[in-house]
Amino acid sequence: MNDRKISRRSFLRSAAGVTVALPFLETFAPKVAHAAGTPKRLVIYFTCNGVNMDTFFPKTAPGALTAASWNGQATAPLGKYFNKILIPTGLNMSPGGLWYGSKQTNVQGGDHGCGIVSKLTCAPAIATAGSSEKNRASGASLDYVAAQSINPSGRAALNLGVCVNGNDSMSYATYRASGQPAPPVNNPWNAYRDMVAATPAAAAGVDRNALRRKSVLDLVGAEKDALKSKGLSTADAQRLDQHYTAIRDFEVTAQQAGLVACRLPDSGAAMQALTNVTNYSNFPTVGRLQMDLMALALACDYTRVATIQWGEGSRGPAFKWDGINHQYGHHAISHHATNDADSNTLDPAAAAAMVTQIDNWYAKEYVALLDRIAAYTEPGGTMLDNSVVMWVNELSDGLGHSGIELPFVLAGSAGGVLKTGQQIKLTEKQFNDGRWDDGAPHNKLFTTVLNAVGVRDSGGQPLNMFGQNGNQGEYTQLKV
Amino acid sequence: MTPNACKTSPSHARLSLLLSCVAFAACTGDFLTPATTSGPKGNLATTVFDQQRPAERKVACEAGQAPLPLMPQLVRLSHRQYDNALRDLLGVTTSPSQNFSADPGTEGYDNNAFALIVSDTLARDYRRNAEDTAAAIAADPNQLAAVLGCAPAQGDACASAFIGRFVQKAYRRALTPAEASSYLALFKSASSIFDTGDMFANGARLVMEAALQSPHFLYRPQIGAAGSTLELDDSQIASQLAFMLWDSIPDDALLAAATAGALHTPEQIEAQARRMLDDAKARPAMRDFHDQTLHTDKFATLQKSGTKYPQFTQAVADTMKEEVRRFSEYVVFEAGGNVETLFTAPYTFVNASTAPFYGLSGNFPASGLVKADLDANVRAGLLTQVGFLSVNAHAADTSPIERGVQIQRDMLCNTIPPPPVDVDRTLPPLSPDIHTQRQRVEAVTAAQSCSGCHGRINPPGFSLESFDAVGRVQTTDNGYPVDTTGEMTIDGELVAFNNAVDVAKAVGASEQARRCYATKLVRYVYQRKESGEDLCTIDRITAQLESADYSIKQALVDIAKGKSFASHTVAGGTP
Repeated sequence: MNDRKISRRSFLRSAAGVTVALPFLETFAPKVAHAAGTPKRLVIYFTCNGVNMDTFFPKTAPGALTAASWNGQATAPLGKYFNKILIPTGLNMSPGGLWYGSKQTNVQGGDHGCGIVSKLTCAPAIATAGSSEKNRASGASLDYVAAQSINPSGRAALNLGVCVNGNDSMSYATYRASGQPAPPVNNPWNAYRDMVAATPAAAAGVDRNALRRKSVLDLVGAEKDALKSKGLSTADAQRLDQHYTAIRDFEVTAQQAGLVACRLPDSGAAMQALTNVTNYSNFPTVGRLQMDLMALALACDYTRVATIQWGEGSRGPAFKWDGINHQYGHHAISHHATNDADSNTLDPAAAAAMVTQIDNWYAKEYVALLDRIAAYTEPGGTMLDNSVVMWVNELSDGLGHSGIELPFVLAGSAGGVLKTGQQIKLTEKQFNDGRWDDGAPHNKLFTTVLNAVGVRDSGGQPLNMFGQNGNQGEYTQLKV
Repeated sequence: MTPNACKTSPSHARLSLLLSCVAFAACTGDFLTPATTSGPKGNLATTVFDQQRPAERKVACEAGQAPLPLMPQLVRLSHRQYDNALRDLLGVTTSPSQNFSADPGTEGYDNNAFALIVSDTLARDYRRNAEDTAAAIAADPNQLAAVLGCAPAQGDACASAFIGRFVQKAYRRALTPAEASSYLALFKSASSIFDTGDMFANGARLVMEAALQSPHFLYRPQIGAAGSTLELDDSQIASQLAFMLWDSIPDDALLAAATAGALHTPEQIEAQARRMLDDAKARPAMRDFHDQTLHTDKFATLQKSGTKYPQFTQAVADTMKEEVRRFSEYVVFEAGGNVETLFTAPYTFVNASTAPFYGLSGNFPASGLVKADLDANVRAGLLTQVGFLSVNAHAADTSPIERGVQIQRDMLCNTIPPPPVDVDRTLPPLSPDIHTQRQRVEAVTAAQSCSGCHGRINPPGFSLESFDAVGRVQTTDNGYPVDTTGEMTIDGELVAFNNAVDVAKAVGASEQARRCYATKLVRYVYQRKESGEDLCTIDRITAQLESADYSIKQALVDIAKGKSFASHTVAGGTP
């Protein structure tokens, strides 16, 4: 692992492949995202299939991190931002902990289903009505909860995907509400167009796009209301409201003067040119374009909450780029299938090394995302300083489908709230619901993070507890 | 995750503590003996009924006293229904939903009425496509003329005629006067919205953009008081028939029948269903059913050892997928076949790239597929197709376990839980005592704790050991003769077999396979987990499919005539 120093130059080279015409950082940075008032942002970087537990965490003991803390580890690239990073350890999945003995039975996709359904929601899986197969979460994910509180005009969280191709429990990490998965947008060009249409340039005269949308929505909105008045059940009325609320963003606000415009320098040409968006061969390209979009959307205040989900649990690409050339996909490797000559002869050591390569690749991309976010200057530092960028994995140890010792990485202090530059071991007595697990429930980390970025409940108070499982309160030891 | 070996080998220190907590689901034919899971919420009668065996519910079924299944009041179009609707409405053939977020999969299928919600992402997908489609058609004079169907010079008369025809087709019913006037007002507002372009074209664009986002287009409203019985009216039956048999909107003939009030008796429905099944639009719908039932999506990522099987390319995998589709389509629509035909037909469809995998010589086309007869002593139906054998195999070896699991789960609807994750999946190496793949599997699953599931999984898997990991015939494995003999339980009876053809014939002739197929077919076309009266329909079809004269096509007609096709209980509660 000698590539700890991933230079900006090398990043630009790799990003400036076939489709990226204009290197993002060269044309954007440094820029002032906000002249006055510094909103806080929450970013979730979600990966799947677990990590190599031996090479993921810092080598150093809990305490202050240094640039060398991850030396020799898959996560060595994190050293670049050591003083902006917070590593909480000792966290266990809630609900679940170790999956065995948990109450989550009959979940579609087994442990992988449990992992992705409950990770960002801290809520158990439930079944679709009429079915006994549990395949969705029974609560909203933290990005949706956050967006409702801190996003301008309550716009939903920006939810981007990288080859999230499936359609079952293992495909959805984010939830709008109980039973309502919020699938990510896989195509950056689609997401970019939505943003552009909702953010006209200032003083552009009559916005005819918005006028047209309003007229159309006036008609279909009246139809929707008439349907509802015929006595729809709560469930069906909710379906309709959810649908038509999501496209009420014709009520756009023009760009504020002085703010970064919600426009890419190439007007999205690289995104538009991309074909086969959901083909795994485009995995790195799509991911980088999504991160370009994400950083811009945060800087121009289109959204203050964004998620990027790389692949899916129990699936995922065979990594064949950036010096990696795996025969099998991420999931197969996590279960030690590495050898083309005889797939029945498993090779744990080689597989572990491959998982380390994958973790390293994701660490580099995570740092590249931090680069993009930190490229914007704001009062008090950079946009990164006013954010929390949280790397979350579906599992911890992929081989055992484990939900303990979760591999979290946080970057950014949410404007000085979080104690960055530290690795902090969390301990907790038994969960409130009385099960055997003695780990620290991960829902409390989310409560802490949500409050740090300014999320408040309907009464204007900090949250007491995010999710349905775990414990109340915050991990105050993570705060300054 | 595929079921695999049972040797416990804790991969994590703490796992071993918890082995006693692992709740192994029973490996039984509990498809026939329903587990005590709850049925649709809040309907105890249905829950009890759904637990009964066919013999127990026979009286209620025959007396017409089975509870009706629940359906939501709004059923969103599935993505295929949306694509086909745009094809039939506007001539759009690009399958726009391929850019949408995927429909969620529930109980094996992605069209479950309760699961089809509209996320924020999908709402914007719909909007984006409505805007793009409307703008593109309005900007193309030829396309616009075809969609308008009248001359813009006629002014409002043409606008009204266009709205009457186009919006009505999108809504699958006659418009109310208020709806027609709302659309006309929108049409005529073009000049206050647009500053360039032909205002008649702009008006049509506004109408198309709105109709494609209307709840009356994107959803099937079936509104009634929660808990009450809803009898579909004629126009709702037209939609139900079209979405079931075509995955699309009704055509003019169907709408005309509904408007005339001639679409509610069993005879009227049967006549339309027969007409519709003879239309080419019926084939894609059934192709999709078989795609999902037989998991043809797996071919897209199928990998084989390049050193051992250099002939196996992605093009070969793609052809194998088309073979499954073409074969099932032929059986249903051309051969008048039934479930037994699917499992026993001594023919398949090949081209020059896949014929060698069957050992076929001769001239075969480079692309497309042609019907080819196979040696009936070697091959029989779906289970011995090179595609099934390749998908359910490792990259370089066969996988009796994967093949056996698929037969038990997909063909016989037996419940096979996933294996415990903390087992060592490694098959033992070849040795003086272990010569073949079968022996490796037997060795690793020999433990008593494995036998509950692997006693069911392994035998049918072993019967296919006469085919290698890409479906070619093999008589030896590692130089030793393959052993394809065994016995397995079908319809509650132990059946001895010598080879794959024996297994295929036994499965094909079983009530279990007929019931399994009928259940999945009903689940797919009714777009819900089967319940109540649906089970009566399944019982009837299962019984009738035993006759060689009763085809899958006839079963579709009978499903359309089923009581729970045209009536259901209105669901309330939460999504």
